Order: sequence, then structure tokens, then C-alpha cells
Amino acid sequence: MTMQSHRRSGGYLERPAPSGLADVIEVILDKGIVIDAYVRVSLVGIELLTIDARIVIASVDTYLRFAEATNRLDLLEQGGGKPLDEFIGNMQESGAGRKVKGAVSGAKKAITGGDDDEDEKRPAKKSSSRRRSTA
Amino acid sequence: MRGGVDMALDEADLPVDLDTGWFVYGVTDADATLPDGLAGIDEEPVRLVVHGRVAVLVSRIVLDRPPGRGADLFAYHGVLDAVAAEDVTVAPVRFGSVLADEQELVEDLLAPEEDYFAELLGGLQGRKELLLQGVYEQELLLGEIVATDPEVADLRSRTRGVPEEVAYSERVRLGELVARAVEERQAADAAYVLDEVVPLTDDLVERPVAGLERAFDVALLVHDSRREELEERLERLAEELHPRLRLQLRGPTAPYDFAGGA
Repeated sequence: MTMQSHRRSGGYLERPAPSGLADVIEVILDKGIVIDAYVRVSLVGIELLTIDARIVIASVDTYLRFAEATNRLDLLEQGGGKPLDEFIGNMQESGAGRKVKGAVSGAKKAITGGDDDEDEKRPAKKSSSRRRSTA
Repeated sequence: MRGGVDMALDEADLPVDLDTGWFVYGVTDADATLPDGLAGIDEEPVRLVVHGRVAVLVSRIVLDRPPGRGADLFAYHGVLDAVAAEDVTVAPVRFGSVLADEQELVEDLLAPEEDYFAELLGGLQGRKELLLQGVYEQELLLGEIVATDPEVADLRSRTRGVPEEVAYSERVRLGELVARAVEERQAADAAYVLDEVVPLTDDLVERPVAGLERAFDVALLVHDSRREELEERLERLAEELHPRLRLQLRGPTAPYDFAGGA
């Protein structure tokens, strides 16, 4: 059902196919024409989608994570003059933590549950205010 | 175009006592042709409700059901991308929008917004969305920052292997400097790549990036006639920028980022 795009093998441009739920959420999150809530019969729990999964706050916690990532690097001391490629080689061999936990891992989980049980009913059918709230 | 046949099947299949509505996928041209057998959420057939020059893509949905499941998101995404893949111009409506009945679809959505939708669709015609991301090889990025900023290197040597509480303020300062350096590089790398890309796109939305992994994340609206040239240009850039920065291109997809959402 999803669009096939030809994938060149051996190219440097990566063409990942969206596969997981996280990929799909990233594509569609908060996107599209907005129908005013007075007209819409929302699917219950959809508001979870509007959680901003992309917040970055320059907090002390963020800084500490950055510091930790920097310190985890297995660089040789300054002046060694080793090309960076070699450092990377070392990193990969030692299997040292290659991923820094992002500041934004939590929010995307919200959607999978669908267990939010607030039960919105249909609003009064002929509501006076309606339509797109933003253009 | 599909007419009353779907409706009849549709209503026969659903238990009569359930409260149902119409799940709205997107807006399209009145004369659009949908792919045969297009099924949406809960495998319900997708049909068009037409008014004037525009139409909505909808399928029946039972209102009393667990909402927003993963399968629903896949179905929504699948319908819109399947339609776009047939070169049908479609403007996605935000996931989760349900209207009560056909009368509401026409009177509350299509009729009052016909001009707006027609104009929106005109701007999207022949175009699709591509998603371009720049992804850093973290060790190279951080290594570069340590190598070029003496203060970072100094703080790093003073905080490394030291218990967290001992060098707390140095650690925060180190992180702050690194964060700032990463932001500078993100801006510079994004500008470098987008300068090459912008001339081949009709519109562009930059999404915020977080953390250390991504340099940039942009949605591009690209005319079908220019997609190949864009891909070739990106391939050259990807070769030039790797391994420090990898370029990832997703799509083409329906123009989710260019349909007037927030």
C-alpha cells in the first residue's frame, strides 16, 4: 500500500522505507488540514497525538547528557594527531555506547496504548462555530 | 468515481445499532479517481463525497471503538499514500477527524471551504512530499568539537572519569558548550544542504531537531518533473558529506506538511 520508491544500491543517499509505527507517527504527527473541534467527532484519545514529541529544552539535564556523550568518546588525547576515522574504528570495535539517549524518547509511546478512556461523545450537531482553526 | 454502491455494501455490513461516523482522510478534486478496492481503517472501503469542485475521502467508522491504535495510523497513512502514488492530488486532513454524517461532510466542511480547498489542491497538483534528514555520525561530530574547541577539550579532560558530583559545574559547562557547538553545526550543515535543494522545491518546512543525532529534518514539496534531478543532487551531496553526515530521503508521500496544518 505504501509507495515504492526505487532504491539505488550502492548509493550514498539512504532511502529508508517507513516501517515502524514511530516512522509513521513522525510523518503524520500534527499534520494536515485541521477541522474545528466543534464540528469534528474526534476519535477518543487522539489528543495524545498532539503531544509535542520534539521538545528540546536547554536544561541542565540536557547539558549533562551532552557532557556525558562527549566524555564517553574514546578519543586519544589532544596532540596525538590521529585521524578521526581511527577513533571511530576503535569505538565500533569496543562496542562502546554508540547511542546517546535522546532528550525526546518518551512522547511517541503515548499513541500505541490507545487506552485513554475519556469518552467524548458527539458534540451538538449544529454547532455554530466550526471549521479550520488554523490556516 | 464511486457512488452509492459502496454505501449500500457498507451499511449492510455494519450492525445497525452501532453509532457510526465518517473518518476523513483528506481532500481531493471532485473528479479524482480512487484506486480500486481502496480500504481504510477497519478495512472499510474508502469513498468520495463530492461537492462542487472538491471532494473528501472518507470511510465508515464505528464511534465506540478503541481509538488511535497503531493499525489506524497505518491505515490512514496507507490510504493517503496509495492515493498520492496514483498521482491523485490529495491534501491530508489531520488524523483523527470524524464527521457524523454525509450532510456534515458537505455542509460543514466542503461547502464553506470549497474555494480554499480548490486553491490548496491547485498548489499541490503534480507535487509530492519528500522528507530529508541529515544524520550525524555522533562520534565524528563530537570528536570534531573536542578537537576544535580548546575549552571543551580542557573541560572534558577535567570531568572525564571523575565522579559526577565532584565536577558538577564543569560538567554542566561542558555540556552547554557542546550543545551550542552542535547547534552551530546543525545550522551550518542545514544551510549548506538546503541551498542546493531549495531551487528544486516548491515549498519547504523545517522541523525542529533535538539532541545530537540529527543535523536537520525538512519536508520538501517537489514537483514530479523535478524529483529525479533532486535525487541526483542529493546523491552527490550524500557522497560528499559522508561519513560525518548521512543524508536520508523518505517518500514520496502525500503532502502531509503542506496541507495547512498547524
